Amino acid sequence: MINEIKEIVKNYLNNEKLCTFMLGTVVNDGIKVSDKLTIPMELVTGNQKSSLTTGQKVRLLRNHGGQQFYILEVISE
Amino acid sequence: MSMEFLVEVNGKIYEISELVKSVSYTDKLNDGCSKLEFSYIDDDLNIQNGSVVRFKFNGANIFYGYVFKHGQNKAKEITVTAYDQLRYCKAKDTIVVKNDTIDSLVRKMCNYFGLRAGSLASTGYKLPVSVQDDKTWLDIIYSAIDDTLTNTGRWYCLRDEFGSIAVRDLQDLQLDLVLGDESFAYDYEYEKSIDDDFYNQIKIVSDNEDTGKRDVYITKDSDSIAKYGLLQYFEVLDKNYNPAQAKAKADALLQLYNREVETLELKCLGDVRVRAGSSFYGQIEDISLNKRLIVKSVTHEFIPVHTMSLEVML
Repeated sequence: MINEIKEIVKNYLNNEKLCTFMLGTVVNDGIKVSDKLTIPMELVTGNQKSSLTTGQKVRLLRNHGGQQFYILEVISE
Repeated sequence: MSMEFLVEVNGKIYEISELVKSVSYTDKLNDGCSKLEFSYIDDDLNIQNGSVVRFKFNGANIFYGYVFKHGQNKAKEITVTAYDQLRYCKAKDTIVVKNDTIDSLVRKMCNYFGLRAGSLASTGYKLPVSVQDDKTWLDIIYSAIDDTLTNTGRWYCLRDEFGSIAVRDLQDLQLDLVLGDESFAYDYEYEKSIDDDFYNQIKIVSDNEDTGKRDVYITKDSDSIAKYGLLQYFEVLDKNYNPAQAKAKADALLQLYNREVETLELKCLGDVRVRAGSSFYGQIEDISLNKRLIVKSVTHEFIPVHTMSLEVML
């Protein structure tokens, strides 16, 4: 029973997409976080968005829900 | 009553309708795959996981799927559970939804898992851009169905139809069938409640970028509050809504929640056309029911007599 509850909570939290930091690289059509996932620019916000150039490494803050990504800082060009 | 019950074991096909002791078929609306459970008695035929099962009843296609579980007891009664193709779509993946519709997502899913696609209704609604990270394909498609429903008012269902995956508009699944007091139903259970999901005041809080603080929106139904007492719903909106949108959202939520929740379960003689998502005309005099109802889930029992129990949406 306890294991099932743990499993359910784990799945729930994973599905909930809590806030977290992420690293990514700016590419043409978004910010590439992994081979599978390139975040489209529509979902990226923050006042540094307009000054991004391709190839920059950025740190992102993922909002709760996983549909909004805020640019915290540019780590390297 | 005629049955055709085929199973494929090690490349050979067996017809076991004479051996089957019980068959039940369960289908839920946009909630996983459909399921066929059956049992039979035999010494020689050892069904295996992955075996294909095909079931027809009175000439109607009921189920085509794969064995996922089987067991037996000392009396040599073998029980088997089989699921349809949607079982394979419980796998998780990461995708970006962009310029997609429900049907294009389903097509991608079928290609990815090598599943057979059937009739995919084209919905015409482009889903909002979103990141679906580490989610099951079924959840991704169900949330696409929800988005399409709230934005276009058209409701779709994803299901497996005898071995091919289909997307259907519920409008197209209306049956010319009456179920109720005088037609096929032999028992029902009805409940009306304000215990869950009932609210007559909606309070919504949303961040306002112009003023730099949170705005509060309240909408309520005073008659309902006088009748049932104040039951408040509260939500902090996570996306940036403008004041008009937030107000509209509060009104929509009040519409949705300010009604007594009714549940109805029906037990009827079987009709092979009834699946989750189909709708029929319900008539029960005692609860003054006289309207079209959508089937939320259905379980058909085929032996000894074909009956079905339904859970419907009111």
